[in-house]
Amino acid sequence: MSVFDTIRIAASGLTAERFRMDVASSNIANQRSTRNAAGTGPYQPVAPFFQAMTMTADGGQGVAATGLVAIGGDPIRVYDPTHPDADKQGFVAYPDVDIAAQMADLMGAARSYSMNATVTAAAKQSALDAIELGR
Amino acid sequence: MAGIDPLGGVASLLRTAATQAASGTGAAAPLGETGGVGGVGGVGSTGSVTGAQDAGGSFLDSLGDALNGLNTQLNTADASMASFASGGSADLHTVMLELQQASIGLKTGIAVRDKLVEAYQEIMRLQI
Repeated sequence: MSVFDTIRIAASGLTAERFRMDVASSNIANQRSTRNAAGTGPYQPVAPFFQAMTMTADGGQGVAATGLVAIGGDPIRVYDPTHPDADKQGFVAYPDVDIAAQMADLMGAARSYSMNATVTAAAKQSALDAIELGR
Repeated sequence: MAGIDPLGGVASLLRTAATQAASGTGAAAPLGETGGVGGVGGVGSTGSVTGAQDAGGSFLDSLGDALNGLNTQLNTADASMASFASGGSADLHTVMLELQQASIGLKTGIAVRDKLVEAYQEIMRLQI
């Protein structure tokens, strides 16, 4: 039941929201990537999913990103026979990234990050108030 | 940060000593409160100090525990800051929060030190 427990839980939230921003950033950066990292096809847009995890002795729960799930529909096929990644019919597959949704997610992550930062500030102020009690 | 570490440790020791002195003079209630504050600070040794006292352990041991706890905190903050500065994988918020925790621990130590000195001066006046 330490003030630091609050900070640790909020820190897990900060880390999770950072990760969410990383993922949105990756989706936005790769909206025109016709090859994924393995070179086996167009980039696959993803979304993180999170899980609560017990972090403190009294059952306080932090959060952790547990993985990524594929989002978006089938790749968008655009006719461009000169493109190096065009298939036999001359179509190039681009990832189906919903930019509006990604930007909304990015803003949500940034706001959530601020909220967790506010929690840490409150916990810190509580600790300082507690110290003041002894003065 | 490295220069601050020893200072923090000393402050923590002094504080613990002050708390002990206060309890020795019968100021048990204030001591208990101070112990709670020490727990919040994560020094952790304040609680064990009380335990050691019950078991007849030495005051210096308790002092050393408190000092070590605070030093560990400061060293952790120091290490993550160094890791961040050298391009390591540490998150910025992790570094700042560890610095913050070390700062709160140090402030707690200083508060206990103040209480100790206060108790000491009280005793000196009694003797006069």
